[in-house]
Amino acid sequence: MSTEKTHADREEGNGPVRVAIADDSALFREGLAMLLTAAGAEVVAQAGTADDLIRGLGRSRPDAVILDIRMPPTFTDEGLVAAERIRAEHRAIAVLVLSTYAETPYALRLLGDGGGGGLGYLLKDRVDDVGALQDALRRVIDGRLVLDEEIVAGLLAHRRRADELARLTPRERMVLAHMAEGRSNQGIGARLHLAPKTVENHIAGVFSKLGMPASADDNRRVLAVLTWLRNAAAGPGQPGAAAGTSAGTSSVITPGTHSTSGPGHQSGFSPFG
Amino acid sequence: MPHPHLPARLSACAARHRPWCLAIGGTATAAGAIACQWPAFGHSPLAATLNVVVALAFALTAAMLNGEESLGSVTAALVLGGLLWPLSWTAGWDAGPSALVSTFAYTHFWVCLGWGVLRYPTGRLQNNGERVLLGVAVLVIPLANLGLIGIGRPEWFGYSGHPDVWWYGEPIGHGAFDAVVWTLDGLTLVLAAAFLLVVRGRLRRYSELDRRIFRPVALALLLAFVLASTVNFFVYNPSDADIGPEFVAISLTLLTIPLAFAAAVLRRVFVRARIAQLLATLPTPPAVRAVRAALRAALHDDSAEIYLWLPGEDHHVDADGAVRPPPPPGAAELVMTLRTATGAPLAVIAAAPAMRRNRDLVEAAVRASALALENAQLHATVAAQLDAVRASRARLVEAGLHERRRLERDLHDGAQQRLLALATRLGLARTKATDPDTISAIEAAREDLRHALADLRSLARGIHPAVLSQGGLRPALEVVTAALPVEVELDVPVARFEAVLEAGAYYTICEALTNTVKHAGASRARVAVRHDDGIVRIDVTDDGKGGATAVEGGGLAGLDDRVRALGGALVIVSPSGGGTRLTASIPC
Repeated sequence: MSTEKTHADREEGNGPVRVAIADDSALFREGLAMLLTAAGAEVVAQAGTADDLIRGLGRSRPDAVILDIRMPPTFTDEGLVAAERIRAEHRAIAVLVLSTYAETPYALRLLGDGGGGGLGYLLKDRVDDVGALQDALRRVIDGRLVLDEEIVAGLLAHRRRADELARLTPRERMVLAHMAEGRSNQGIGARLHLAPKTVENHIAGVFSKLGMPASADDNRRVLAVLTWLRNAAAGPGQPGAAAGTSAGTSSVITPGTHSTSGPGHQSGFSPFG
Repeated sequence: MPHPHLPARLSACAARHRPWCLAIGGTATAAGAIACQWPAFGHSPLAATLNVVVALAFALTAAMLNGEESLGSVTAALVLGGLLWPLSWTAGWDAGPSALVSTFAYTHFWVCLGWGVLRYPTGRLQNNGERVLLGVAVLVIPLANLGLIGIGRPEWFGYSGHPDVWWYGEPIGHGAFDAVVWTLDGLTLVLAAAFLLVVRGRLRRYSELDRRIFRPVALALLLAFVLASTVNFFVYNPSDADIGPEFVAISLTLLTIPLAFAAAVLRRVFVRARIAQLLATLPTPPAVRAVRAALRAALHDDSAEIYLWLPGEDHHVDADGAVRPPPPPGAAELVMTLRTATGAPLAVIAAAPAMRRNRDLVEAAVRASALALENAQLHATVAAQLDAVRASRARLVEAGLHERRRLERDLHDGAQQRLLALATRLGLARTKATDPDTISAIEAAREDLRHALADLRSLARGIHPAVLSQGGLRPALEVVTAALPVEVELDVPVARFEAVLEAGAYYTICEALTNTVKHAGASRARVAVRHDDGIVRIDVTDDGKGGATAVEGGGLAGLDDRVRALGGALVIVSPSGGGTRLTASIPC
């Protein structure tokens, strides 16, 4: 760990952002590398499997890795497992997971691992927008959480909390969506062309209307929003939700311990606890 | 001993006309017995009547046993016994050949009895020991009798010595005669003891069924032998019209012999009835194991085994269902082959080697079990075919799942990645483009590409959701229910199941929810999945209008097929206006 750069080191350095890519599709990998290069990043490593990528991390020393989820050998969740390993072994490296499918359970498994920021989950489709990709990369390198808008839209569209969400103004709903996507007050303001003060007012409105505890920390705020939305998606009051046993049906996003055996293997833990 | 032609024909005739045979034989025997003892009726009427009863009992038992397979010589011995016993009492006439007839008849009666019993129940002597014993008895007793008459006076035998009574021989000294008599009495005891040993040896070798049949007869005869040989020490043989109490005792004991035979015959009849009864109470469809248990119980043979022929699989299975070839025809066991009504191979039944003696009973049992076994064979054949169908259906389901996953993977690895690579190139082109027209063309292409990717994704997800293989039922259901316009509560464990079951459960639940959305007009639905004791139970309930019925080719019928393909069962409860509850139980 001592050999790795910290966020502070990188901020001091003036070089381009160093990115490593793992994806078993050579075509997509090459295209992504070209795109990133064109956008001013330095692609320091490319690998067809997560293991190859992790093995080369000590040498390539990227600021961020971009991981596909389905990779050899089992084509299931190699990317998620690799993300967990990288975050455990190389804390300074930000992880951006790109997936063909926007699967809420995966996103929540990834973001709910309690390891803090520097983590993102985006749909692969976003690669057609260099700006969005750059933005996401920058945000994860800055230690923030990033979540694809399609997942957030899915969570917001869920019926269970439709009544409560209906109490929000359209503007407040947009602010909520951006919070869930992992944007800071400043980022939200820039996206919605709002003054910081206005953004803060909207956020306060959202938190009070939905009865969510406010949090100053951006990443905790993302998790709080996601937890609220996720509970909405799975429904409250189910057996096992409170106990949070691994065999139960808890749907709470639970930062803290994480497991590689399945998206549902989460122990009960409040992000505010 | 081979039956002479005439007795065999007589026996067959008697068996055909049993009532006549019983009536005529009984009357003749009674008349003969009364004639033989006519003088004795004056002195000891009760004892004489008892003797008539003994003779009648022997004759009637013989008539009853006649027709029983392998008992020809036993019947003959009984008939002879019934004849000889009254003749033993002709001494009372005290005239002519009465003394000689009485002496010969009495001694030969016992030889005849031993011969008959030793030939029971198989009609054959079992080994050389028995042959020697019977040979010695047949030789010694008549010869000794002839010799004794030759060296004694009628008075020494207890006869009156009336000058009209025929006699022969040259008497020796009374003392020497007594010594010879004592020696012969001792020899009789030895013979009785040897008989006891032979019987004991037999009982040991016999199967349980034979033991049960033979024991009463052997015991009755032994009792009579012991009593007679004991009496023999005091009284040589019946000698006058006055019948002593010792002979009354012997007569009473002798009565038990036909009774024992009758009991044995009844026991065989009872065994047959028991076979029929046991087979009648077999469960339906009859399990081969149950048929075997019935056979074993009825035949008292715990080694009896049924080898059922399975025509579809071309091999035999034993009653426990294990593949096992039956013993070859030359094996020690009693092996019987059973065929179906149409002559096709049905089963081979093997019984203990000792059961050969009761081949008739085994055959009766085998015949009685034929129908049950035919049913069992049919059942086993159908079950095997059903298993084969089930297995092939399971393979089809698995192949279908495999194919879906392959398709989805092909889409993912092929078209989707190509389009995504194209997206990177469009993104790259967009960064390079400066001309507004080019930019707008790229934007349009990008928009089209996004739609294409979304369509492809939805297509791939419909073919097989990747999240199902990767994360299991729960995350897959979370994804699919999030997009539904109905509020769905999920009570689904995160535990993983077999891929085929997960896929089956997933599509079942999806179809059920589709029905709920399309037809039920429900506002809420609940999906519960429970795993208990090898069964996964899926409940999909909604608060809709109910009244759902499965129609041919409809969605619910398709659901039923899907669940059945996994070996499960589907129950739909949908009262009008009371919501719909769909329960699928699938073994895992």
